[in-house]
Amino acid sequence: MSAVTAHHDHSHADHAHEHDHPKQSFLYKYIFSTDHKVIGIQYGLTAMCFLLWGFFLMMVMRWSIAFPGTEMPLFGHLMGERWAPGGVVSPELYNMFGAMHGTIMVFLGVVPLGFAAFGNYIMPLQIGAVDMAFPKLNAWSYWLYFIGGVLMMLSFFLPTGAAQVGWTNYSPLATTAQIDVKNIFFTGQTQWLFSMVFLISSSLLGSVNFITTILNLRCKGMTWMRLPFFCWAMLVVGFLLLLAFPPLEVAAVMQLADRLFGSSFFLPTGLVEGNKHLDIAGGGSPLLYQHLFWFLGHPEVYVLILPAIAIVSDVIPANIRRPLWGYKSMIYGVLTLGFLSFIVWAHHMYLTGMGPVVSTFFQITTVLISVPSVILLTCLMISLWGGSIRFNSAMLFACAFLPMFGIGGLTGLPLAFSTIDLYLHDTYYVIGHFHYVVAPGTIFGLFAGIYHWYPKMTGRFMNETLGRLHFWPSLVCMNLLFSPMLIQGMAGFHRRWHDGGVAFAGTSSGDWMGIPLLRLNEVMSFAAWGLAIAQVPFILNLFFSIKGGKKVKSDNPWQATTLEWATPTPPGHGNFLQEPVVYRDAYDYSVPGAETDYSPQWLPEGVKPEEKLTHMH
Amino acid sequence: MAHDHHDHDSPEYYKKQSKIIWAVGGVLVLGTLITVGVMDWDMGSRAANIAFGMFIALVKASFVALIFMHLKSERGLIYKVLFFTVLFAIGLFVLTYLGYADPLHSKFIGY
Amino acid sequence: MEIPYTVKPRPDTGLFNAKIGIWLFLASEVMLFGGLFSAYIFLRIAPEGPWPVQVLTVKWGFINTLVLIFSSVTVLQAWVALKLRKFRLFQVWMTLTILCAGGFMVIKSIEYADKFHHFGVLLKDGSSVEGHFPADHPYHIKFDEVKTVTLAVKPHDKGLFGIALFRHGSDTEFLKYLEKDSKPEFKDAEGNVITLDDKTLDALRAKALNKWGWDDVKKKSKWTPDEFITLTATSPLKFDIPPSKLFDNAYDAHKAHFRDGTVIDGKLAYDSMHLEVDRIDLRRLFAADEKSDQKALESVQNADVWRILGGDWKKKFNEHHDVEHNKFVEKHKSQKKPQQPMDNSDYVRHVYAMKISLDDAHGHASAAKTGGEGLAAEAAGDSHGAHAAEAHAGSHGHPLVVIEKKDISFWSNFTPKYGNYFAIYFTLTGLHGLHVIGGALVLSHMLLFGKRIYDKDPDHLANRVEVGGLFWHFVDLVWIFLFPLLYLL
Ligand code: HEM
Ligand SMILES: [Cu+2]
Repeated sequence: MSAVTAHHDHSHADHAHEHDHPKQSFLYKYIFSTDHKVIGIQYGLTAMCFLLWGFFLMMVMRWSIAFPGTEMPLFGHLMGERWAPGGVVSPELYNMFGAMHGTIMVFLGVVPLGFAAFGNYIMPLQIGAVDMAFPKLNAWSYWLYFIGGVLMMLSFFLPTGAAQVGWTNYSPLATTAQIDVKNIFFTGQTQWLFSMVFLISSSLLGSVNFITTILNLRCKGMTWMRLPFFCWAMLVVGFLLLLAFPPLEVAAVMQLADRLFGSSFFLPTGLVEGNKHLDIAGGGSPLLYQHLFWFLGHPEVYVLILPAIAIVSDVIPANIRRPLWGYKSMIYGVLTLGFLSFIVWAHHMYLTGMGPVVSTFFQITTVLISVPSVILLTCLMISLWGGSIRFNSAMLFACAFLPMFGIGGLTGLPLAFSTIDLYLHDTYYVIGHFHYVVAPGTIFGLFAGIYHWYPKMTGRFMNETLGRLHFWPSLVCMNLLFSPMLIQGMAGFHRRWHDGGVAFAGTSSGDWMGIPLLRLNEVMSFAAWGLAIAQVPFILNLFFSIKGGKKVKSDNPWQATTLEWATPTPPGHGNFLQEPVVYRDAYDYSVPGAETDYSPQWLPEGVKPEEKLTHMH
Repeated sequence: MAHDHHDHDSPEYYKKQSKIIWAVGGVLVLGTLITVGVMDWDMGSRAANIAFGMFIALVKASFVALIFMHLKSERGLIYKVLFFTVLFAIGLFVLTYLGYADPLHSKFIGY
Repeated sequence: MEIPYTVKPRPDTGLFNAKIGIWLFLASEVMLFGGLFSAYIFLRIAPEGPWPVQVLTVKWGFINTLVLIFSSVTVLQAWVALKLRKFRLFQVWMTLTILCAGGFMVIKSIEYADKFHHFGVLLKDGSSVEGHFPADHPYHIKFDEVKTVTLAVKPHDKGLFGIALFRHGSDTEFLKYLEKDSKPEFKDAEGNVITLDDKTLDALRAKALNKWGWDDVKKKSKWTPDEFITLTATSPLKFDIPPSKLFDNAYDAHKAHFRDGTVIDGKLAYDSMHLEVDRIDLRRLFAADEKSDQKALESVQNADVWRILGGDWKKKFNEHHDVEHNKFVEKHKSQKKPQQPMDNSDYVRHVYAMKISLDDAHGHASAAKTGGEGLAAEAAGDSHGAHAAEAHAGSHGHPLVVIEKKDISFWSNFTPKYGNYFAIYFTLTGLHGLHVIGGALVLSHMLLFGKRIYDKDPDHLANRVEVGGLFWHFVDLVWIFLFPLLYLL
């Protein structure tokens, strides 16, 4: 690229851009773009919309749990008479929202945000690449995801409503639900499968792209042991998606065949529905579906949390001015974790009648996999030790991530043992456990990432006051929301109940040390709605800071060490103004003898960061 | 493709490749004929037929993978990826199968 | 800035980008087909009924195997041609490859079409018959004296927020199955005479909907209130309905229930199935691990199939059994510990699942050595005297029988519905077929638009063809396993 004079403002983008391509229409620049950064932002915005929608579904459900059978104010009548007669959330509506909450949060919200959005934007920058290896494929991934998402949303408006049998869609229920209609294709259950095929294809293309990029497009000097942990995590997540998703695609195709063509892959002989034998051949296996589902399902859990851990492990070193503690053990940890995550899946199936041999195998692997998880978390916590911590919003979220994710992880350990799981399976304890992992865990990690990289993406900081207004209420509400679930669960409260367990009222299980557990439902619901309010400062911050935020004064406002901070702000097409070369480790903070407390990766030995500005002319 | 051969770019190399390809094609046809030919042989049990049929299929598949897909001289990276893939595919199958083969009740009867 | 390593390999990995990409993609394909093959093996290892073996036409599978092998060779020759810088030759080989893909799909569709017209009928006792419906006598159900038709209106079956993407409830499709001499003329509740069609149905719906107010829903406190419109025919109607149009095959002596919710009330006039039987299967009548041939033979003597086919066929069956049995014993007696017939699933299959044909030349298990015509007539006449006149040998040289609905426990054409074997057959070959189509599209793109890249850098096109070829070989590789698994074993 010819010498472009660097200005510390975001006009670089346009400069750099115009050198490569004379003119591009708005449509091709922002909508059908093949630039990894634009695609990353597209993924991010779409995924955040889905997260909001998934959260809204849950707020409606929380009403039904706390105040079953009563008219829901404001929103009740909006749902339509079919679904909420008299504004009362019907059990059917509850089921539908529950299944879609899970589906949307996992497949349309968190994974696209954590992996696809952050991965797309940050990873190529961090390895010093000009773009992804296959830019067109990248655009295809996004649009397949978009189509899958739209189909999923349209299914809400079908006469049958959307899918209703949980995000796991277990057969035979998922096969026989919504089947007594003229056109089985246009039912929520069928559309769920159909859009999953799009979403899975999107993930597959995306993971091929990510892995190829990391393997083949690392810049000069970017050896494996200099690769930021973020990219390592993306590599592992890429492999998880690549190899774990196809069996779910198989399951989806087979369930689709069962629904549309009347086959009985997952339908046992003699299945009766509504007092009538179904007109099927039978001989299929419902457990086969569960195996295929959880073969993806468990690795998917790591797809949900690894991006968050990855973000946090970039945010923390930059804000403590110390290297990541145990960088290498974290890398071996994440590789081990990736490997093990393929052989633990049946811990979701202890109740299906597996024998002691198989149960024992899965118990062992499940306990084993907690070791690398603990390594990751411990390394991050030890990193904090003795650092001079800069508590900006990103760092607040990153710090909160550690104990929250910790609670989530530790409450998972008991579930690894089949005897304990026999009792806790399908209770609110499980819901509490995994939400600690994905909500105050993953979601906080993602927030940290947004606050951290926002200045690179827009050239402006997000507002710190609003950031704090976002953080503290969120932290409080999250805990009020999810910790009572653990208690209720231990008392036996079942998940997926639309009335929050009114049957427990006045029984001994409904009372714990004098606390009427049923009343906790109200606490949790108010916490959920409070959590919604706590997101308002964030949304305002996100949009108003684009124009109104404080401008960054340098391309490396956090004085961080990884390569994304060597690009102009925001980076233009092609990213770097000059071919980047890496001279040192990813987290060289406070290197003894160095003049500054950070030594960026692109800094040759014996040069001060100011001398070699982020992009040289 | 044999990247490490020096004659990699010479026409002779590719002319030889062309012949090898035809030869492998012939082997595949032969394998197919054998498979069809022996399908009704009485080998004692259907399982034996299945095992033999799958063995021939495996041989054919190896020819395709090793020669047509150049796996006999590919880069380490690809071997690693394929190794783990095959490992997980086998894991999926074996562990699911064990899930059936080791049902809870059959163990309890003995106690 | 250009993306590096699109043509030349990166030194440390030794690979160009697309090569890594395709191998990663193939890795995911290995998991995809691995999952499917796993499913196949499970369903196959412990099936609940006899697993169909060698029920496909080997000829077609064999030809398709050769076609794919040949195309694998040609796609590589196309690549070699590029390496030798012979663009014309490349075009020739690539065209051949794509033609092979087309040929493969044509054969595939012939095979599929075959299955759609072949039916299996499981009788109440577990024995089954297979065959074709006569061309002039498809399986239809007849209803006479239909006086009342009930249309379902589902006013509140709307999606979220009251938005509805589709209309729910009855439409006029059921009128297609009116016999020619019946007119869709009805009286509504108020006695108005209407001819039912899309327009009048809409008017009726609107009227019914009008009745419904928000308060009613609340009062009824039902989640899914339905409304029904009852119409009375001015003169009794006759219907002639393919059973697949009825929900879950559901009808009884007085009522038939269409998939859209419409119900007709009348008299079931006729629901017998005509079938040109080409095979019977009695293996469900004894346990899968039955060891005694004698016991097995006894257990099939009173099978429902004989009632339908007639006693002569039973005689033929028994003769056939004895012949095969003796052959088997003869063949194995030289063994040290002679194998027992029932331990040999091929024996069980050949004997207890017998092909049936009036013509000696049809298949090795043809039992009808003499008097084919007589057997056919007797068969049909036996079970349904009224239709004896129709009984003939059938167009395929197979006996025509008539089966009463009450004898049937399950029937289907040879589609995924018929059982796990066909389900997995269609799923595997269907997905494989999609891969063939996808591969052919990609290769066509290279053939048609490759010149531009070739002129810039021939090795770039060669790389692409190599990568496309890798995918193509993978598709071939899957077929290498599919062919023996599905066709032969
Ligand atoms: C932060 C706000 C969230 C709240 C208040 C919330 C609340 C809940 C509740 C109460 C349930 C249980 C419903 C029931 O069993 O009846 C549930 C289920 C579930 N949630 Fe969340 N959740 C939140 C975020 C998330 C996130 C971020 C994810 C995933 C990444 C997620 C994934 C799921 C899944 C998979 C289920 C199970 C659905 C099913 O039963 O099929 N949730 N959520
Ligand atoms: Cu798990």
